Amino acid sequence: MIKIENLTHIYNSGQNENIRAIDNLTLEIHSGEHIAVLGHNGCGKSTLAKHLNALLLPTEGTVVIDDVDTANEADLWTIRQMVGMVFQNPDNQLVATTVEEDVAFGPENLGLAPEIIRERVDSALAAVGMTDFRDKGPHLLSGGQKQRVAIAGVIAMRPQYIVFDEPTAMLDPRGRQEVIATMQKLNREEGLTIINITHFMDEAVLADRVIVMGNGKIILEGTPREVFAQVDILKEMRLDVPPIAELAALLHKEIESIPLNIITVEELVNILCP
Amino acid sequence: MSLVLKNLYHTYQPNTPNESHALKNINLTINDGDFIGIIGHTGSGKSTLIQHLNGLLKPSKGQVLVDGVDINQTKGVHLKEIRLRVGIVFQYPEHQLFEETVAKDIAFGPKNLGLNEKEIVKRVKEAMQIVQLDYNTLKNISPFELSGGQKRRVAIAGVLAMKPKYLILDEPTAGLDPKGREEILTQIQMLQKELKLTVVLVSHSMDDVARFADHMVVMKKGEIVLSGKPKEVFGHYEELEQLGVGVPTVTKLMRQLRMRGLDVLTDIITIEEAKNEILRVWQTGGQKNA
Repeated sequence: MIKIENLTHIYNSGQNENIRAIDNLTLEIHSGEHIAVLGHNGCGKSTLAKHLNALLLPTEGTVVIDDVDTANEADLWTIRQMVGMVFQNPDNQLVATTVEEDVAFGPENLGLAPEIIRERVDSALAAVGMTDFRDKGPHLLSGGQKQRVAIAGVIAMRPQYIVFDEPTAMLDPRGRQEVIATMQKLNREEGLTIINITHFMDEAVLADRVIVMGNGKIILEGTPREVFAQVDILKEMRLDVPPIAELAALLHKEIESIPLNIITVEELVNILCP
Repeated sequence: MSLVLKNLYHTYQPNTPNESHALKNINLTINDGDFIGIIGHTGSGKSTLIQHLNGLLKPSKGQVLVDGVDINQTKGVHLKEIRLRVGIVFQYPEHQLFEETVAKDIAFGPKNLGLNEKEIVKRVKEAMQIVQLDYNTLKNISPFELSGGQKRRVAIAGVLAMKPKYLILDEPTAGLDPKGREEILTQIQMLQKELKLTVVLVSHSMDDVARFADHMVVMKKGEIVLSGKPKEVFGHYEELEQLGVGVPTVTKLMRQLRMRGLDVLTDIITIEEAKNEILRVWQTGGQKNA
């Protein structure tokens, strides 16, 4: 479990102007959960993400990963191994000349035996469906494939938690589907805890729990159904709402028997054509 | 006046083992004042197509006519002049920012035109106003200190400062947050509606194209497979699903409602239209039951 308690992070901009990026935030993330974090650029999402593997340390408050406090410098490498990160731009995350060397980079740095590295690379590539591309140069891959290789590199470290920071923002629809499917598979089949920071509502709908951030605080929290029923608040924050949730809210104003908490096409069809 | 592609082919690395046919027999007319959306997967030829519109790429076969003139085969055509008329905003244009200040970056194009200082400042101010960046507070700031959405607007302002008649944008909202996306799209729409620019928008987002474009083109493997008004194109539901580009969510909804026996129209592409149509059917249905 990840326990974030009264976390505040203040960036010192060096111009006598401190920015409170996270403001007294408390949150628990359970093992095996799939969480989506929504919010505008500048709302503190990425700052929060960087606290989960000690890329940033709290100004106030604590972040504890399975009993390990991220402020404890001696545990830094343990924390980084427990919590993997996947970033937005796949091109910035790949370092080697072939796919499998890239995935092996992390385990090699752990100083593992060659046969263990082999095993980890093989299973990581299999988990993201990239085994057939093992000998390819990363530059020959599509955006979605590159991102899957980056994910494999993280999985090869055997983390319990993976934080995705807008992993699909730079991908085309097919690439996005590949990455989303991979994320869900890791959550369901491998039991990994997924924290997905995203702007895409169709990704948020897949999560167990959605957290909406604004000005460094949690504004809304709940199942996708609960959160997306708050169409007015989300619109006011100028966040996207799944189109069906928005339509349901408009219809609800005219026809009371149409409920608010609808998020998929199938649900609305079943209500309109019982 | 118009942009016309006639029987256009483009082959990369011809007569080599790596030969690839990026465009095959493209015929497309973009009239003055149009807002055209181009949709297709990565590799479908969208970017290759737009690079022909201002002579960055030359066709292997066929013609590109800008305001009636074949830009590749007519003697005396200066591509520099064509590129003034046809401005292209590439993907992630903020990667191309390089000057020390926002104002200098936007002024780069006009300066190369040899315009005088007064005219350059005027154009920079106008361009910044269009993309809603405040000239006085931002002119002396380094573009690299701005947020992603602001940087992108600086890059778009740089193209607008050239006063193009045709504005081509390749995925202008990729990677932005919903607020940034909405702002950019509304500004582009304003350019077309109020400044009468012709806009070509390359996009992956069906919902954006449905909302803004008057005409849309769907590409697959270097060919135009569907073309028409968004309502017409989204009527080709199965083909679009097969191409993996999908249709707007509400179009999908209306189709499923119809399949379940609700007497709704299916050429619905926006949420507002869907609401009105469902209410219409609901009300008449209610009367029947009463």
